[in-house]
Amino acid sequence: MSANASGQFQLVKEKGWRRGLGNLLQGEYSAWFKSSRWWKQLLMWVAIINGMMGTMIYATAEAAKDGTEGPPMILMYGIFGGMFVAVGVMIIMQRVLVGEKRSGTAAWVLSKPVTRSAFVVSRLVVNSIAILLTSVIVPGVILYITLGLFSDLGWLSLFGFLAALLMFSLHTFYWIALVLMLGTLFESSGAVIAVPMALFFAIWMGNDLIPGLIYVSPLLLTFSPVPEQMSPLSISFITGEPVSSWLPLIVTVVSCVIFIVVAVWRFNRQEF
Amino acid sequence: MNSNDWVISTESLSKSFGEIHALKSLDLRVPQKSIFAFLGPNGAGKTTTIKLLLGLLKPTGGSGKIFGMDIVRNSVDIRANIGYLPQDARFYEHMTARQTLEYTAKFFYTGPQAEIDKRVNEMIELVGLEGKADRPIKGFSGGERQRLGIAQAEVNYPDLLILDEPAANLDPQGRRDVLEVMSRIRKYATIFYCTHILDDVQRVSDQVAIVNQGELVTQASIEELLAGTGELIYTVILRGDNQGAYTQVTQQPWVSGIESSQQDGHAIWQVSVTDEAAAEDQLMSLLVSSGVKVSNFSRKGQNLEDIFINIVERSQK
Repeated sequence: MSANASGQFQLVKEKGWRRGLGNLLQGEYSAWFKSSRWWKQLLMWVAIINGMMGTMIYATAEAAKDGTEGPPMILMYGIFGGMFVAVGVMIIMQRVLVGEKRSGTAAWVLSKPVTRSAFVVSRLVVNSIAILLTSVIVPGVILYITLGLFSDLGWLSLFGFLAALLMFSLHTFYWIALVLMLGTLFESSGAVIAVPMALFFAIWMGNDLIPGLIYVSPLLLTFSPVPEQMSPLSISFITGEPVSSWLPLIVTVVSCVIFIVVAVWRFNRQEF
Repeated sequence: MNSNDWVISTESLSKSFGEIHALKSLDLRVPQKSIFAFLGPNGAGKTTTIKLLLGLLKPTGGSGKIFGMDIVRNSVDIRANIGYLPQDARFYEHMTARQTLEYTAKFFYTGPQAEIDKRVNEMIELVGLEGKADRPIKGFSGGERQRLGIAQAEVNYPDLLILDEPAANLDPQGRRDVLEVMSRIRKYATIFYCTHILDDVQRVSDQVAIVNQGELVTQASIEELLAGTGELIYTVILRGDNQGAYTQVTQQPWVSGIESSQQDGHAIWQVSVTDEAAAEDQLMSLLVSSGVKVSNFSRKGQNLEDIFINIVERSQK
């Protein structure tokens, strides 16, 4: 009567660290996309990013009528799509691992034939896809069309805009990976949200104290706290200006890899 | 029995949380196809043991095997053949009972979907959740969650079922149903379970282990445990002056002690004897011949609760 003796069933064939991954991905996917969660998130981000940017387009058009200069639209997109989304990620992701550890659902799932690595990877992959789709990709595409149709900027270079969206995605992924890692290190949501929040504002505000800090920060992928010193990579791609430094991109990618490795390593050593 | 006959075997298995020694050198042997009750007061180390067996905790010392596989190195393979009900079963609140069972089943099987659906329906019926299978778990009572917990533990027809307090949160009917399910499953699987309801243990278990303060105090079959030290207790209720009777009875070599109390002008004696035949033949006649009026004479049945309390209290001294 055991699972292995159930002849009519096809047994799970995943081996090694991937054991249970397929079902974990499916479960997490259902939690996002077979519920109201995805469209509520999407609606919220479209309202924030595209709503704000719509206001900018309108303000620019009004300013043009008066013969004055409107707000710097592309720079503002960097703030809405970069800073706002980063804070949103911290709020959305803080419960992903900590919440499951505290509620006991993680222990329940881990009592099934799944590896802990698969558990972490499933949370990372599905949450990343869902957050990137709802807060970066779809609002970005809507913005591209809106700018083309209604703004003086007209149709921007598609390649440049896609490269900028990639920067926004990487920046968002950086915060997703960081918060996920913190979820394996701490047991309380407070710490998981406070640490990235503090880091975010330290990088943003700390330029005066540590002048070099900003040049290695993931923030520079989307917006620059010191625009007079350095343009963010996303803006360079959209406007076609030369990229002033690739360092923020390299630091972000390396940081993401470190965060994921630490998260998997730490989760494999946790007790439930 | 050789080592392959044990479904679970542990050697000096121990677990400490800092200075707290939750489990101290546990040597446990669980035979195949048994219903094995793992008993102990709160904080004795029962749940810690279960979590060590499932790989949710890592041992501080010693080792353990399930189906001959190491509980640390082969944890995932072991879990592929286990069903587990946690003490305070928690599931994803947004899922329905049916979705939870399907989700659980798919950790073991990829298909065919029709067979998975059939198994899920069978489990829903098994625990009597037919009317609530498609409602989100968010609205479930403690008893309904417990029933779902039992269903998800059994969904893969495991070789070993580990149940942490299976009858907790259940009404008497629910408790009876759980015991019936356990009795039915024993043909196919070994059941290792913790409980505080000792009546249930006496009804369905074949083997019992008692832990206290992280240590195994005893492990025996239920018959061996109930037989205890061979000591029996007779309860007699007497009227009149019983001083002479007391002296006579305590002088008998087969009487190991008398506990006396008073109630409504009657003396109530609990007479402990070591020889059942001698007691049956002589105790009553001794009492009558000494001139006391005997208004009640009965043999007190040994129950697991008394034995459990005695064993635990003795282990604490």
